[in-house]
Amino acid sequence: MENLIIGIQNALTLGPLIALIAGVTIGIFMGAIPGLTAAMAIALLAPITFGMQPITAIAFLIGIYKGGTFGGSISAILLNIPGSPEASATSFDGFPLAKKGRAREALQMALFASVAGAIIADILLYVVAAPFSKFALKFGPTELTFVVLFAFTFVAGLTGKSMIRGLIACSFGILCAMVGLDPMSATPRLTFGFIELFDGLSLLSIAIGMLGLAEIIFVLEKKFREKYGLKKVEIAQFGEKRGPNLNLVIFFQYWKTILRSSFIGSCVGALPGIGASMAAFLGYGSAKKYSKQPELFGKGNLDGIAGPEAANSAVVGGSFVPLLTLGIPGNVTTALMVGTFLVHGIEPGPHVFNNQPILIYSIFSILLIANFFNLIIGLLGSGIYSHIIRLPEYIIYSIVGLTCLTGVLAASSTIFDLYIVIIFGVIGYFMKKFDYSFVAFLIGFVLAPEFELSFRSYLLLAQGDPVGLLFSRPIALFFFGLTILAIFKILWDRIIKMN
Amino acid sequence: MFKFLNIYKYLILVFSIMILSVGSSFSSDFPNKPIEMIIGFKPGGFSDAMARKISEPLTEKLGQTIVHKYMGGAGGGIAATAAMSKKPDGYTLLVATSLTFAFNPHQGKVTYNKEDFDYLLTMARFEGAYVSLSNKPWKDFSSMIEYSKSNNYPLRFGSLGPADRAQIDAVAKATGAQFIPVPIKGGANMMQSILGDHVDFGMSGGPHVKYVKSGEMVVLAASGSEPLNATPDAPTFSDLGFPAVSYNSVIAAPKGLPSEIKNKLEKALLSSANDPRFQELVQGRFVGIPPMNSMATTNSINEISDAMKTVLEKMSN
Repeated sequence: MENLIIGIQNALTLGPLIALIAGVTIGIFMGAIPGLTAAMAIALLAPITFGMQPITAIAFLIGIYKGGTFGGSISAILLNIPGSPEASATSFDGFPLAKKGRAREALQMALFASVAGAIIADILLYVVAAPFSKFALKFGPTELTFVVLFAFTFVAGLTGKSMIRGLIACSFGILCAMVGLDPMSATPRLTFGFIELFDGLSLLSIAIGMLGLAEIIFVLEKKFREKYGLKKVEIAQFGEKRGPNLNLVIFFQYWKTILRSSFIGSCVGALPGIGASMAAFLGYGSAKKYSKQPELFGKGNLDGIAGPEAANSAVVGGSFVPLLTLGIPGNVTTALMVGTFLVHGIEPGPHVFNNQPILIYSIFSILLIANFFNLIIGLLGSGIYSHIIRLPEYIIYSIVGLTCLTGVLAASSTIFDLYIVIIFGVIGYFMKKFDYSFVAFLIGFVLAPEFELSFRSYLLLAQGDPVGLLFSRPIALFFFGLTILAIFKILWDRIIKMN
Repeated sequence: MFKFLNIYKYLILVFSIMILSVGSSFSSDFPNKPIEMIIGFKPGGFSDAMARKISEPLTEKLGQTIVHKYMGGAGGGIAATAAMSKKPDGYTLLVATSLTFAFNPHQGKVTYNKEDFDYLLTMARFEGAYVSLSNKPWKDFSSMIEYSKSNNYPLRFGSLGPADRAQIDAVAKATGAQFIPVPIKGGANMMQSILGDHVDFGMSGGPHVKYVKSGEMVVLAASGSEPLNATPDAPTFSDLGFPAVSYNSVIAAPKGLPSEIKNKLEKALLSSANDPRFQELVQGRFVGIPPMNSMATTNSINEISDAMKTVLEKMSN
């Protein structure tokens, strides 16, 4: 108890607080620029923290991490370009809202949901960190196979009007995820002789191409039709007002979505190797699945922003569970933080709770405090950023086109990824034209590699007896049961609809 | 008339370019422009940290800026492919691993081979080790093989990539023990899989050290021919009579550097790697070794390459 108080006191000193403000500001800014992510900001700025006090350095990095997670949604909402991969799902409903002239509302929803999700995850971290870390160790290939299999059932809710088209889009996403070296034999698959494809297609390039670039082609088509007097395409106008503030009463109506997504995000964050993008898609999928008006998703529903944003922000708190308790970083960003921790003589792992309890409580407190700075700085920013929407279309889309390409170039520094963006821009345009769901495509793309790796490992470990192995693994069996239930529920709903 | 003038202008231009390029190829004033360092990894990792750290003293010694270019992917293969086509004038350096040069070409998927590069420096060696939980019924690699054979127990083996799989395959051929290779992405996930007992043992490049210190894990064997820094008592793969693979961090340049430039670069790189700023970084992570010069690096690349070639030939038979 004494340690807790000292820890909080340490966190509330001038150094960490200034570092938090600086970190959050940098994080939001870097996150909002497509192609620059919180992970890159931490990689670039970690060296300057080496001279700081340990707790100040950690505060700075946590600030960047938290700010960056929200920042990505700014460009996703305003420009339809996800600033970071985990913001892809936010653009599905955020951008339609912005086009309707409700940009400010959408931004604030993203911010409030982010902060709420993060706070819930941080409190969960406080309470369950130690026991959950032991539990997370039980997740091996067998368990992960059935967790991801269960996650696939969310796709069914996201397929748009036609289930067949949704499944085709999802399969196409899975096919694209198969590009690259086979995870077992390291044989190149679908690389067509390009060494650049050995590591597969990157989510950022695909998301930016399909969302940002495809949108530009769509607008070009519209202008072309207008000029030559062809039939008009329905599309909302930019150059209008940035819209009202978000009503707090309305925000609290989405408490169920936020709570659910925060829980999903925390769990995904605590399982090493899965990542914030998957959490965001699961958050979006579950929000739609449990929504009373699923047909409004994709057309500008605040629920569709709350779902992914609460989930991807909750990943931050969740990812600190394995980091602090086991010394295992769950994603790239926390892996980068380990480097900084080591420089300051902090060795994350099972013993840090006994050896440096004050430090742990300080970190917990900083995680929580960071949310409030995120809220304040984000709120100031959302007023400013949402002015972007008042620009005329031809300026906005020129900027969008340029940032799509420069963003990808900044992230990968190879021209090859620009070709990928352009190709997927064209593919995205036709998918939109023929009503094949992006969401289903991206979910397939995000889930497939994880599923393939764990499923093939599971089969190897089973040594010819997969059923036997499944029944000896209670967690896997539990998720298998959930999957079966979910499939029956989907079929049942379809039958009821038909009658 | 005007046309003639244009031709003269062109001639002057061509001449001046020729003079300039001849001037710059005089190796005595090397380097007279910034040097590009192609890093075969994504920014943010430990290899990137090493590249950036060694650039600090290197800049001071060469008196020119080092420009970093990140080309991650395919185990350094993308960067190596790009570097291969650059002019061997000393203005292109490549940071990759020993496997980029000594293993990837054997798989026949890349267009370069180890002869396409001049090797300048080995700056660090990763703690390549086979690791398992300490409460397993074996103490080291040999007793694990014994246990597997006498109990007819197939060992679940966590693999980080094709190189360690080839090594373990050679062990299986040589001893008759059975292995189930389970592919695992990255060192952190490997620790999780070992701690959670999802694999019996696994390959690790360094993150295991703290668990060995706390007593939760043991190092069964070093994957290379040299003893490890943190656990020097563990047997090496050469000791055990299996093909050894060392995971070294190597700096190379396109083949055909003029000898004067090569000497200058080698000297500058070697003393930069010995700089306390760089050594502090690598020793903190147990990857510090006495830096190896051009000759030693070339030899070690050849050695690993020969070992891997034998293994892969045996696998295909």
